[in-house]
Amino acid sequence: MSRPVDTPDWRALPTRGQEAERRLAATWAFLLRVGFGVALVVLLWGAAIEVFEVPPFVAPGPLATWQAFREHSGQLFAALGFTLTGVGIGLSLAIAIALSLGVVFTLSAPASRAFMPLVIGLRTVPVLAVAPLLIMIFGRGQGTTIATVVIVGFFPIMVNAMRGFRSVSPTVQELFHVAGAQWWQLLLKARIPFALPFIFTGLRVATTSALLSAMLAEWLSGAPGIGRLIYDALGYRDMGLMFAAVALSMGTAFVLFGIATAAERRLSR
Amino acid sequence: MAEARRSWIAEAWPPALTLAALVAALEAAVAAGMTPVTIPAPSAVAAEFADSWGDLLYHLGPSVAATALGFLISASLAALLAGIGAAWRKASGPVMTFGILIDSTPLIAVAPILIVFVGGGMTLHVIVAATACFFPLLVGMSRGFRAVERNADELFHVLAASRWQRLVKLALPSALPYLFSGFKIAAPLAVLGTLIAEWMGAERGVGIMMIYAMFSFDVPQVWMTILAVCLMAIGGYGLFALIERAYLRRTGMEAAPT
Amino acid sequence: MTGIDIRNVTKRFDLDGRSLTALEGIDLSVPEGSFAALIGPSGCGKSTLLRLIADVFAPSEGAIAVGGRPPREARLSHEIGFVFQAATLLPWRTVRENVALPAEIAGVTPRRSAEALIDLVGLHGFENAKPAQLSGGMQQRVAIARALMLEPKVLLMDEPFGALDEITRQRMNVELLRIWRESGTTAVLVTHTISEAVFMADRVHVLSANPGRVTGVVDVDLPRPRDFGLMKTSRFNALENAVRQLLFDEEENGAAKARAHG
Repeated sequence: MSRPVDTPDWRALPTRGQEAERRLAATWAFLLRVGFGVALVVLLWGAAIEVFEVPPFVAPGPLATWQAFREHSGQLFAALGFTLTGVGIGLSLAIAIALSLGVVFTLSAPASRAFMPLVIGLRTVPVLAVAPLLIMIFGRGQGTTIATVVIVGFFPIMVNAMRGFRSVSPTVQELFHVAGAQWWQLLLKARIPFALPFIFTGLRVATTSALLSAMLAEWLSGAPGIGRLIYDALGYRDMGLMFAAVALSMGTAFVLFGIATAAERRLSR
Repeated sequence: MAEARRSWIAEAWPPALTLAALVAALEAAVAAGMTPVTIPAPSAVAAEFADSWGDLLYHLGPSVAATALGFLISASLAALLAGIGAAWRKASGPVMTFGILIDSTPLIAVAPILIVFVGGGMTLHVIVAATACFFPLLVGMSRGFRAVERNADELFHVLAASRWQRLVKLALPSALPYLFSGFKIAAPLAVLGTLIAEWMGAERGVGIMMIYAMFSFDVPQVWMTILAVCLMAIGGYGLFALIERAYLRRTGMEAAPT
Repeated sequence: MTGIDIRNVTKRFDLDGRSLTALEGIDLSVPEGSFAALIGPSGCGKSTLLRLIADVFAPSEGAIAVGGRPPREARLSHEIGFVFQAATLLPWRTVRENVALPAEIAGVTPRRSAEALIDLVGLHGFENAKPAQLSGGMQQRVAIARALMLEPKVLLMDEPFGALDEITRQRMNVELLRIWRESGTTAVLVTHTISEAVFMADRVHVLSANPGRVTGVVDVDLPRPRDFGLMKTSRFNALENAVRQLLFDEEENGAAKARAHG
């Protein structure tokens, strides 16, 4: 950490061109780091397989996995598509429910006092534990996947949205009051804009756990997504397919996380 | 002090009343036959607790053990990595990246690989529990190790304090609120990790009890195991929340932001 | 001899690979037992200069002597008291424990007790309070008591009352002068308020920004002890104007130079 010095004057500030250059360099550095990280993991993985002489029916190396990936790519992407559809629908529903409830709770103090502590209390609980119950209710199809994503995604979005709606300072509220604004004007022009960065923080948290939840629900329910595929492959001892599916789901998780983080960062700037 | 207690009660009664009303409404709805079979009467779940608490305790034992062990291992590893990050500035970036990678890796995808190498027993449960709670622990510890204000740091420099004095009189007391805040978030996640790992296979454990109940369509027992898992998580959270509150009250400090 | 001697000091920082000159060619001396004020616009490096005297940073060029010795030796023998703009009290310690901290770290039994210092700064009865229970002004008094714990030969203050309101600040200034007279240390005060600098100091050093240089010195020949009445005198106003002249003339010159270069 470099110690901050007394504020430099404008002559020391970077120009627009320098800033753009720096951002471009940062992007390159990021891509380079990611590439380096992936190469390192693949190298270690291959080396471990070679050194410990792991037979291919226990764990395949990177090359065998790549072959399996190309061989089964249709099956893999169909399964991933099924899972991501569930994730997408579930997250949309979670956002809709969380935001409408958030608005209701913001407008009605009694409702907030009666329900918010329960919502916050439930957030400390691993809600994913209800997955078996959801299977019993929604059966062995995509309904369970969607319901699981909704229930897991709801709490972080809701709690963060409430935090955001309440982050409007009393002075801003007074300003709107003095200007003679209606409650919905305060909501549209102050509460929601102030809440957006918070909502995206909630969305980032929800997105990262959504894929895990969906895969878990599929694995328990037997719905034909990537979560099920991994365990079916494990069951048939088709290790190449399993490793390919694992790598694909991990890659998807990182990309989802990256998109959600970038969106959050862009908005909270 | 009396005022604080009164406001606490004023804040607690609306949600308590809501909860009681929800339970009562559910009970009435089930009695009136308005609910699907998958939603039992709260009284039936309570009866299930009364009937099979011996069974439940039998299964809870290994779950609690795996959770606690996983948490301990994860906390030690997080302390080690955060310590390296704090002592060696260049390492702090990669350490955080590593934490984020672990956090965004879907556990369910890695578990089968682990099963291939360590089998589906207690070892798997402990590893998955440790992985699940690693990131908040790492964040809490990294923040804690960095919690010393710049001015306080300069003060100790001007006072010519030794490294040991800095650690004991400045770094440790500054770090503790952040550590507690990390522990609080991590405890329920460790419970979740154990549960997921037990779903994949276990001889004993509340997760496998839940799966058996699900396959035999024993609705009250599924609800009971879910509630038991929630209680475990709340217990872990509550334990650290209590320790945190005692420390903050004794020292007059404020809770660390989460 | 515990005066402060600063000879041709330059300080450069590395910021993202660029070198930033915070201070350039500073010559300045503070006689033993006197009160000096450093004033200048933000960015003039006055806080940096204070930290150079306290051995928080080392100068890039030039030399500093505190009582004829390098700052490092002065610091290690606990001769320096430092007051920050923020009180920087340790929140888990009581007022007494905060004041006693320097003695605890030095491992010595001080000549004056923490209680006596708490009395000196007018906080009798608050020995067992936690910092969070005190107002901003009271917290800053604790910080001053702490700085005086080991009877430092040099008391360095970085805008100690900058965060306080005007009324509290003026009261604190009068009190600080009383405490300084009783302790007899050499004092250096960094401030950005002209009246405060004139009211407190024997000599006001005016700095300019980018890079920080000493542009002038105003000797304050006002009698001591000083009180609020002094601020209404024409002599006080004349001194204020002298400082103002040095501050703003330099700014105009700088702007003219920038125009000439542009």
